[in-house]
Amino acid sequence: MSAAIAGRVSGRPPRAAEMGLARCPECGRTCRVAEARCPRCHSALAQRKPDSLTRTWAWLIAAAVMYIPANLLPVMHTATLLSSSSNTLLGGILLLWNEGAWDLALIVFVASIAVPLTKLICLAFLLVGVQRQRCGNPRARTRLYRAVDFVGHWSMLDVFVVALLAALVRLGRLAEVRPEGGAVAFAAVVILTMIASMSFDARLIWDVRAGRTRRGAA
Amino acid sequence: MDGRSVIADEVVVCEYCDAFTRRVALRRGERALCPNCGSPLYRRRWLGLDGTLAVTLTAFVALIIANSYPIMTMSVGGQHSSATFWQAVMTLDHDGFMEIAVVVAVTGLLAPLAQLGLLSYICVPARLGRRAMGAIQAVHALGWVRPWSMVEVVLLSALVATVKLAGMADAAPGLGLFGFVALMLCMAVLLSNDPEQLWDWVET
Repeated sequence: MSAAIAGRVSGRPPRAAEMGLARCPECGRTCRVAEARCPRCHSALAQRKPDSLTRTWAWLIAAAVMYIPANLLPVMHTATLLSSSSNTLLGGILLLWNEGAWDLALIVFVASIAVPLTKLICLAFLLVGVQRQRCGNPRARTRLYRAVDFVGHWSMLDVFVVALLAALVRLGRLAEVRPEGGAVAFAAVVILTMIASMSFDARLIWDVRAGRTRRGAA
Repeated sequence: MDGRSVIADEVVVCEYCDAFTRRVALRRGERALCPNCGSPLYRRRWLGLDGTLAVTLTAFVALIIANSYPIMTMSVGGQHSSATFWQAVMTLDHDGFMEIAVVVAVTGLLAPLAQLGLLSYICVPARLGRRAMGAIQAVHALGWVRPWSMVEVVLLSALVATVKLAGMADAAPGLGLFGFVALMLCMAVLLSNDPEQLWDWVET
């Protein structure tokens, strides 16, 4: 047992799959692969997330597709006594910029446009790295993946703000805010990206480094 | 070297890089990181069963407050407007955006409620020395629900909405918002405990 834990002579860290071990995907217990089911939570054991690459690409592409209407369709409709306007994400940002609130404009740009796009690009980058069997600096890639996963749900901020404003600004003729189609598309992008991130198995990065070709099969 | 002699409790496998390490006892404030990739491995089991139940109860109270009172109030000219969380959801639905309404309702209220409910379902019988029927499924369900609970986002969105309204109206947080703050703090405490602790309680 001490030899197994101390590591192999080559200096590479010992990996569970090579030792016939697996981490239970549900409860995290270290199990022997031979057992087929986790002794603690009775879930079926799998070395890797099943079909990780295929599923992650599928969700990612769906998210990318929804990104288009999220930016082209207006997100919010504001009506006051004097005027009424429907703003897309970019339109709202430009409005803030022209009004001189360039700090707010920058924050909204980063949160609503830059971050979702960056997440899509990062996930695509990680996927391509695994598929092309070239994963340099796996530690950094793992950190990147964790960052994408962590940031994910914060993008829902925009949807919540629109919801809150729409609920509050209901002063009849005086002022009114209503959500529009762009907000639904945006929510879809956030959710689909979150699911894509959850489907990706970061261990595949390290599999490439270890010289194993596991294309997402269990 | 087929792993047969490995004791499951002594070895932890990293979910990000598959490397395994020996489990060590953690001291206060310490977190275990994978020596290979630096990802979080496990946390300290600092919150006992009693503590978990106490915090869960507090969270329930916070949740009730959060939804009984308005999150924000606003006034322009002489007109006042206020909305509780659920009113915001209903407004979205009323405007014909059932999809967003569902998403907001789930992430802001239903998911946290489910978390607290499942936690209670597991912990109350455990405290009484019994094991609830379907407790294992409940722990599984807790794991699925967790990513969809976004109370912190609700809070931040109220802040952003206040800023956006600052120019044209008098916007202020309502009591409901403080309920959400309390709820968020309770959830943070519950989540800072090692999630694998639940399995020990279920096994009793």
